Amino acid sequence: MDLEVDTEQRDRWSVISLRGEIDVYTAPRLRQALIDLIEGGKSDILVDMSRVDFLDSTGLGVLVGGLKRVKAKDGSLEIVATQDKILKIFEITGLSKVFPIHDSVETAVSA
Amino acid sequence: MPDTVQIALSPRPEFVGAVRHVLGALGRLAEFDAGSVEDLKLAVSEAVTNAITRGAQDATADVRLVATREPGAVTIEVVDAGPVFDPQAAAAAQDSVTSQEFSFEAGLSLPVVRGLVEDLELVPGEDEGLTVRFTVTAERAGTDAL
Repeated sequence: MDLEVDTEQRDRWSVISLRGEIDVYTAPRLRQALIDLIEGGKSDILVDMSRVDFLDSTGLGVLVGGLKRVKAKDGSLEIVATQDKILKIFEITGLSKVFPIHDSVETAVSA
Repeated sequence: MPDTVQIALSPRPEFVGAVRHVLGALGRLAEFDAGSVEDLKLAVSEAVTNAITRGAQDATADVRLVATREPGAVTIEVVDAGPVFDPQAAAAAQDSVTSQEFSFEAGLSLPVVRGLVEDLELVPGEDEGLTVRFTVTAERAGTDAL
């Protein structure tokens, strides 16, 4: 039960790659990664959740907070997710209509 | 004979994952399909998160969870000792799910549970606390877990 957070630059996108579980305990690590990027001047952020085993509403709240912050800088925050269990919570909350969701980092970067 | 798992936990965020994995194991014992195990883990995680975050003003009282295994279903009851439950605040959180205003960063736990189950009950305590009760039902064989 842990969350690994790695960040790399791919063209205009700052890609946050996540591995593990995102809940009320681990979500602050994602929040900090987003804040670090945005305060560092990045405003196009891609969050790769393809290796996330669990996501709950706390993690979604962090993503929404990040979206608010990049929107204020005319930026964007998009998601890579492929697993049904991750996509489902985006659907339940209606956030699948708010975040562009891609099936791979390559697809998102080349879009 | 009761067929239950009962857990009392200190309201610490790091325990939410532990409880989630216990309930995932119970779902597998109940022969849930993989998608229903994930539904159970998500619903329990949200209910316990709600209990812990509601109880922030009293960080010492335990959160209690009772899971009852039934044929094709697991019923969950989560009891906290947080402040008196405000149904209007809960309704506002429910509305925010579909809001385009991005006005929330928290408070989505119970709306997510409501999206996963059909029988969510919220029972306020007389002086304090809230009991959250719901049933996660296994998908029938051959149906799409999503």
